[in-house]
Parts: sequence; C-alpha cells; structure tokens
Amino acid sequence: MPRDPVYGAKGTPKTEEELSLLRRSLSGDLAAWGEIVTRYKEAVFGVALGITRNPADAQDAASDAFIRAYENLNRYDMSRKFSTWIFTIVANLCKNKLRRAKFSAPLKQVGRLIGGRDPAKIVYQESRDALVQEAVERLGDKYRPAIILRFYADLDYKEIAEILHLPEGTVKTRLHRAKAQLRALLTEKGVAPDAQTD
Amino acid sequence: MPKLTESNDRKLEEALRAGLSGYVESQSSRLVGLEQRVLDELAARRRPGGAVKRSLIPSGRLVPVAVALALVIFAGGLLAGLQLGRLQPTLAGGGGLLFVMAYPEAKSVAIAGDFTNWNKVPLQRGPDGIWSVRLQLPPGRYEYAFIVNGTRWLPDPRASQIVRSYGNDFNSVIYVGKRGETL
Repeated sequence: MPRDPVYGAKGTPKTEEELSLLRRSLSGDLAAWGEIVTRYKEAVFGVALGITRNPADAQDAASDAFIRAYENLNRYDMSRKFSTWIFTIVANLCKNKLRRAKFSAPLKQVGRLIGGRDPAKIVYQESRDALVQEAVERLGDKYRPAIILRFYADLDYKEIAEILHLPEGTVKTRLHRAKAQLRALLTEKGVAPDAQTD
Repeated sequence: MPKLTESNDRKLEEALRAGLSGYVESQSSRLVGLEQRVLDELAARRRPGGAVKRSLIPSGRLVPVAVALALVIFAGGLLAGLQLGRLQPTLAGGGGLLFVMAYPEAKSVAIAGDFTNWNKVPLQRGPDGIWSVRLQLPPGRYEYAFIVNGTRWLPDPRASQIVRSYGNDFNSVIYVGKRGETL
C-alpha cells in the first residue's frame, strides 16, 4: 500500500483542503478531525510502532496522539507542517511510555500471506520486513526513533531534531551509528549489502 | 569500521524503507475504526463529566494513599491562602501554577508531563511533607503525573480530571487558559 504523500514527502505543502479541515477542526468540527485522522493515522501508527516495538501499544499511542492533538490544536502553528507536529506528539507519548518501562515485550510478527500475489515475492518481502523489524528492534531506545522518523516517515534532519528535541548534529550522529549497526545486522542476514570499499 | 560506499549505503536505506513500510502495513488492521474511537473519546470529553472517571490511586499497595489524601485535605486547610490542592495560579508575586503533593514518607517527588516533555522536574519538600513546585505553562491541555521515589507514578489526587493513559496507567489533566489560569 503506497503511503499518502501528504505525510510522507519532505516539505509537502499542506493543501487548501487540508488547511480547511484543520481550521474546521479548530472550530470544533469533529467530522473534519476524523478526516485528518484518516489521512495521518497510518503514518502516526508507524512512528509509534517503530518506537514502542509493540503493535497494541502503538495503536493506543496513535489514538491518544490524535486526541491530544485535537485538544491542543489551538497551539498548532498552521504555517508549519502538520506531520511534524503530530509526530512530535506521538513520539513524546511513546518516549513517556518507554520511560515508564511498562511496554510489554515486543511481539515478533511476521506478515500474513495474502492471496493473489506472487508467493515467492511475498515470502521475500515478508522475510525482509521481519528481518528489518528485528534489526530495528535491536537498536537502543536512543537510536530507534531517529531511524523510524528518517526511513519510515521520510523526515529530514531538521524535522527529526525538532521532534526529538535534539541538536541536528546529534541526529546525524545517531543516524550514522544506527545505520552502522543495522548494516552489520542485516548483512548477516543477507538483506543489506556488505560494506566494502569500491 | 569498513568504509561505506555510496551505492551500498543507498541500498541499505532502500531496504530499511521497504522493510519498515512492509512491517507497518502488516499491522494496519489495527487501524480499522481508529477514527471512530478517537471521535467517540473526544465527544465523551465534551460532555460534562464525560471524561474517564478517575481512579484516585491505581494500586492498592500504596499504603500511604489514605494518609496522603488526608494530609492533602489537612494541608488544604492550613494553606488555603496558597490555594493548595487546586492547580490555580499562585497569588501575587509567584506566577505560574502550583503543583502540590502531600507525601511525607517520600524521599523525592517529581512531576512529569506534556509540559516537560515527560522529563522529571523535582518538587521541593516543605513543612509536614508537602511537596510543591511552581511551573509556568502556556495555554493548552496537559497530562501529567507525579513520580514518588523515582519510580512510582501517581496521578494528582487534586486534579479535576484523570484519564487512562495505557493499561493501568493514569494521568492527571490540567487545562490552562490564556491568562495562565486553570479552566
């Protein structure tokens, strides 16, 4: 399922329609907010899942993020990207939970087989997804959020720094180190190419 | 550490993007009905008394609870001038909102919430075990909790609203108006 470019692409400007939905939401129109939730829910859930490593907790965090965002919509600067703001909220929620250390153990989920697709391709993709998931889960809490925001949410360094309340240089360092760890883990499994000099 | 080539680095990034998207997609059934759950909760919060009923303290193991509550009431009488127990802006000269927790046995009490990015901010111990801190908050709705002795998370028994966070966790809620007052 391709992701809606409205939340995934860097610097994607909000459309007039989306601005209208946000303004209507701000004035109390819950139906408009429901449309915003529909547009962003997968991205928000994905960020939460990447940070918490637990689908049930990610589901709760996504719901809670939209509730909090609605109740604090008057604090949102409409000239800025909505995705950055909502990701900040969900990342904070997840980090809070990690601090409380009450997340249950991560579940090892392997994707389901879905009929109608090339079985070999499905097996490859699911194997790849599971290995990437496992590798990302093995990253420390310090590194995982940056990786998720960079490679799932497609955010740039500045946006990640804003969301995680870190200097941009720290984000770059964390991403560099996290990628080195991921490369080592995934190379073992044959998912990523070995690091070699040309 | 081996030097990464540009093309290999790109392949790793591609694998990460595809793998993460695929993993999230495999869990997307959890998103069915999320809109309705969000809207139902928001609608419930709009109704008077519609928020999740507070469960003052989540754990029966907390022996000091009754003592703490009694002390809050007692201290409320003693410190009425400071409007103890209500998260009101403090009177002239203070500024900010006064957060208070009565917990004489505690070795430390901190507060964490949306407004601190869930980082702990210590409360100062006062006479009779009353812990307090004054915080300046911009307008908005905030969730928060107290942390006793570094590990025990408790909602504020004096908050007007307590909501479920996750599982058996509860957060207190505070609404701050444009002039810094509680709503």
